[in-house]
Amino acid sequence: MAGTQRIARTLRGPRLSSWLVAVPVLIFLILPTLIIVPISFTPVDHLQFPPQSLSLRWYEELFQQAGWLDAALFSLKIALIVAPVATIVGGLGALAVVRGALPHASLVTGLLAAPLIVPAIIYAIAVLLFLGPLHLTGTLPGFVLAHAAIAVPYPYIVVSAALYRYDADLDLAAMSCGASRLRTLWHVTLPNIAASVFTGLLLAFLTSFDDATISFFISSVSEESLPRKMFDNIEFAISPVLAAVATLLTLVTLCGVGLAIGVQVVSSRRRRVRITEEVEMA
Amino acid sequence: MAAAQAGRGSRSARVYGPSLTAVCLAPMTVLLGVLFYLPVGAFLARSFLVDGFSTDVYADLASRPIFLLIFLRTFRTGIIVTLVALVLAYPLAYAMARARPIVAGVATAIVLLPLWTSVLVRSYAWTVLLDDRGVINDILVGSGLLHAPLRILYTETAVWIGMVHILLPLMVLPIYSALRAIPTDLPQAASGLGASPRAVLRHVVLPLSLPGVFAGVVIVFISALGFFVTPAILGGPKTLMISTLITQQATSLLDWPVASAIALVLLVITMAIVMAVGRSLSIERLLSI
Amino acid sequence: MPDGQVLMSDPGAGGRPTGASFLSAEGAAAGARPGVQTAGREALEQLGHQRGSQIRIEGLVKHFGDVRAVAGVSLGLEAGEFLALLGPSGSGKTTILMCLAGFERATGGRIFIDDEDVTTTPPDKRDIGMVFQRYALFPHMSVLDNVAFPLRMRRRPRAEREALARAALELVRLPGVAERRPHQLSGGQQQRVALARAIVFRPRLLLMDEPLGALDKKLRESLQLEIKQLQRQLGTTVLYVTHDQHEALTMADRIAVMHEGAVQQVGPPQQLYEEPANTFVADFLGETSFVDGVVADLGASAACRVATAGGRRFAATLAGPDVVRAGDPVRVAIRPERVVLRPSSADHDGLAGRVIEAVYDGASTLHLIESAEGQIIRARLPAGVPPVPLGDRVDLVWEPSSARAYRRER
Repeated sequence: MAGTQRIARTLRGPRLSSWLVAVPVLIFLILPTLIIVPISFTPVDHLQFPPQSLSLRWYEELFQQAGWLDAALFSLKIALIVAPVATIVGGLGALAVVRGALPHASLVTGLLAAPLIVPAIIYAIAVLLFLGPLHLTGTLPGFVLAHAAIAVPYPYIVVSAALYRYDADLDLAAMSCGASRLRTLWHVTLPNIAASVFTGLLLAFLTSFDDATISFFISSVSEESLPRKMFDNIEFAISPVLAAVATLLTLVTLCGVGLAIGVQVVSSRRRRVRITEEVEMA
Repeated sequence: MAAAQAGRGSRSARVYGPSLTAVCLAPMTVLLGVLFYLPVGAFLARSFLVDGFSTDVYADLASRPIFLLIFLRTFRTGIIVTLVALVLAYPLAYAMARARPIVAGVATAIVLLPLWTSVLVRSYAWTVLLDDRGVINDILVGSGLLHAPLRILYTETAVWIGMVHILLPLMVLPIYSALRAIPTDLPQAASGLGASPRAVLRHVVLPLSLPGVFAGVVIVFISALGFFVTPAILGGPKTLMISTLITQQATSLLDWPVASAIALVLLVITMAIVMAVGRSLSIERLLSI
Repeated sequence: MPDGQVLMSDPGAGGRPTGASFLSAEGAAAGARPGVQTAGREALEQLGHQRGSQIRIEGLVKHFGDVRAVAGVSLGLEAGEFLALLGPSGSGKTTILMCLAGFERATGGRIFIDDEDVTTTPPDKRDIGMVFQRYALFPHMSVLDNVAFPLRMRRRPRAEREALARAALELVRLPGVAERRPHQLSGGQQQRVALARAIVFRPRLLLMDEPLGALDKKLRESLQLEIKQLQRQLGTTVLYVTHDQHEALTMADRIAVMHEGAVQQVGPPQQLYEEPANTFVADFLGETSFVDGVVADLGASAACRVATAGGRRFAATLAGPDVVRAGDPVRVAIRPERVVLRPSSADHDGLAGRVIEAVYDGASTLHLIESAEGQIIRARLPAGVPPVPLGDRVDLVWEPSSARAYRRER
């Protein structure tokens, strides 16, 4: 990809000194998450680092205690509904703004991306006040509605970016081959922005699954999301079971990030079109 | 079919006509209108629609110094967190921009992983690290460096550390992206004209990376202002910030007008910063896509 | 088999003047290898014979906001004709192509394909093939799927699609790349695939938007020949947009020169080159030197004598649509290869000057002569003739018919 230009090799000297700061920062970034993993394997019932020996005690507790599984399943259900809905709605919105020749397009984008800029606390309380009278707090539909709004901007932004980068000539070529607008979208456009659509889907999923702020307010005692349950436990009970939960969640994230990066790499390799003047090989 | 399509269709095959655009935009507009703007508007309106229009709540807020104190504290936190993040992020982004693709890729993964990990998980990790009997104190006390554990958790310092950690990727990514966008021949040209590496950095690389720095600073600062999870978990009763204040007013004290008023002030400040900066940055750049 | 024979050896079918007759000899030579010829013919049989369509553009107007990109253009293309739309950027040629394709809706005017009004037909219903400058091959499909795509859109069964796609790839001389992805091919190969995709469904009209612009010179020249051959074999009507006048001259049956949204002149390449209708066409096609002067007197038919400001006089021929009277200011266009250099003499009353530059390019040497009045005249001497040394004084001589005088504003 021609865009990956590095300013390497043109500057000697500061190279060493920037890594001097950079490496500790990288360690700082990854350290906390890495600490959690060994702690989750501790056999004792308080936080101990490093653990004296390894045991799966807390993972067993996690899966046996209904509370945790229920919360995890609840969060999963919500996210599995929110993600595709947000992706479709956000994706359509991206199509409209990128291709619709709207006046004040950046203003429209700003309005559509507002949930990302408005502080989460404000929205969380607002949605509590909104869902309360409708008796939707602590319910699956309630959570879905609340998460939909904060999830939808992510696919919108990611798909917009992909559409801006997209070579519009491909669509014209498809039409000249006899494809209607809809068929062009299906056969040509979508396959080529699939990686970004997938990333948007992933981001929407994680936004819903990991949401802590909104969950804090609209969970009920019986129906709480996984983040809410974690929140309570952090406040009131420092137990290594949390470390186990955190480790598993990090693993999920790792898979998600790996998947997203992998999809991007595969698709960009496929799309590398060499538009250079080259000697005929035929 | 051909006849039906003949009249329809926009001026250009590249552009969606008005009806098609409206159809595509409708779901998102409706969703955000009903599920976002409506609730938020209703909530914020409570600050001045108590038995008719009145700004009493604001006058009340302004007269109580505790609120001003909390606002200032939140701002101070925001500024400190942003500056620390900037100082840590720039060298990292710089090193990444100059590294071999493999190294840069690994570093990017290390930066992305915390970004996508739940805020809760990351905040929890810091409680483990900073607790009186947590990992850091264990090491410090256990090795004999200190006699008594350092009280970090539930202080403002803990909040700062936690927030820097959580917001750091948001500062690294825009700067990294801006650095990568600098064409390789510019530093080369400067170097060829006789500039030392330090001078190239100062006169070529730094200025050209400013849009990314700007974007990072804005994102981190406005995120810091409205942060809830981390201050709630890592902070204590003496470290109330705007977000935890709103929570307290709303859920414990059930004083909705006050909560709404504080929220509105926070929102106005956030919007003001975004709009002031938004002139020179596009939303896409702001969100470092 | 007889049809294939006729198509390949009778380039003048239909009585069209062909400006590129030398191509048929080349084409025959290139196809002389028996294996290739048979394969090509079979592929042609498979794709089926279909005469190209007749195209009529009437009064086409296109505005983009306040900008008038196309200002009332009327053009006709005969069935099976290769018409080049030639002009600089912004001349409106690409816009015309876009309107023909249906990608832009014309502001005014009508477009007819075989007498069917397609002005408001959507692009996917026009049955037109198109080749883009940057190929626009679908990166997520194999080469074969790319070429078969138009047939898939027309809901032809899979077996038939693949057979026709392979036949098309044979025609563009790329039989072995069907399973590859576009990014694995070179630029020239990609453009051939794009061509195969554009013809596989035997379109009524083939549009080409500067298709060779992204390729290097040698590749461009060989592809020019291939495209021309292919067009002859298939009999498709082609509209070819380019800013490269050499390309237009070598490939087209007729050229339409565009400038600022209007057609300046339409005709066979030779006619445009030898008898440009105005100074723009004279300048755009080939090299030209311009000399400004005033008509001193008029002679029989279009002959005249032109006097320059410095008092030099020479014979010229009136050209262009305007009526010219004695005393009118004119701009005279002369092709460098028509200028003859003679040693300086006192009794020469035409243009004269000093050689200030000589540029050798292998086949000829271009001389730049500066006259006493400061005009720069170009003269091209072929390789056999010894070049004139720099600084020498020369007299410039030419046939009156070679100097075309166009009326100009004062």
